Amino acid sequence: MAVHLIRAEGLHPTAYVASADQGDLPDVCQLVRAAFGAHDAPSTLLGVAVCKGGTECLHT
Amino acid sequence: MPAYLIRSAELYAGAPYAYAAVTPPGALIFTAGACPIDQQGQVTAPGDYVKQAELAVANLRTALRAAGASVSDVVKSTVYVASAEQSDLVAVWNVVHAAFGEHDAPSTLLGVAALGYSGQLVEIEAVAAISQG
Repeated sequence: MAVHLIRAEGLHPTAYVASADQGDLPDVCQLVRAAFGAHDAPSTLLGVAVCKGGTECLHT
Repeated sequence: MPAYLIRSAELYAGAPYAYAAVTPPGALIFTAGACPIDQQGQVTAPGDYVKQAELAVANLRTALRAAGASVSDVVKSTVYVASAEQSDLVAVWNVVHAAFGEHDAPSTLLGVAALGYSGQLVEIEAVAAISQG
């Protein structure tokens, strides 16, 4: 499972999770929520087929 | 002042959405992905793409209203469908398109591998623009 998070300057983060297993997504959601703390901006959480890795990959 | 929707004569005229939108001076509203969940946080209508789309649209309307906007202020939406079947995407799109009516703002429709809530099949996010003051 790989995760790619775009912060969009804190306005609207989107977390992309390279998994087709819905069960993987809540863990990532908790990670993202913890990172944003009290600034719980509107967010979208998606499972995708392929995720970009490299330096922007938070979790593999 | 509503967003101005752009239609190019050089692009396919039959697309059920505008090709671009220009926002008025003012504030942008970013909605979270609207989900087919009730006020208890339960995903409704398991396995039913159309009914989940209808509730997601209703929740999107509520979120926009809370921000002082409506679907007629939306300048871009993205519709996520947890399916690899194109027919499921079209079924959801028909609900969203009907909700927007004549204000057929630019939109993107995607099939994704999974969505965040157990049993969730549809999610709709939107950016809206309103005049300030």
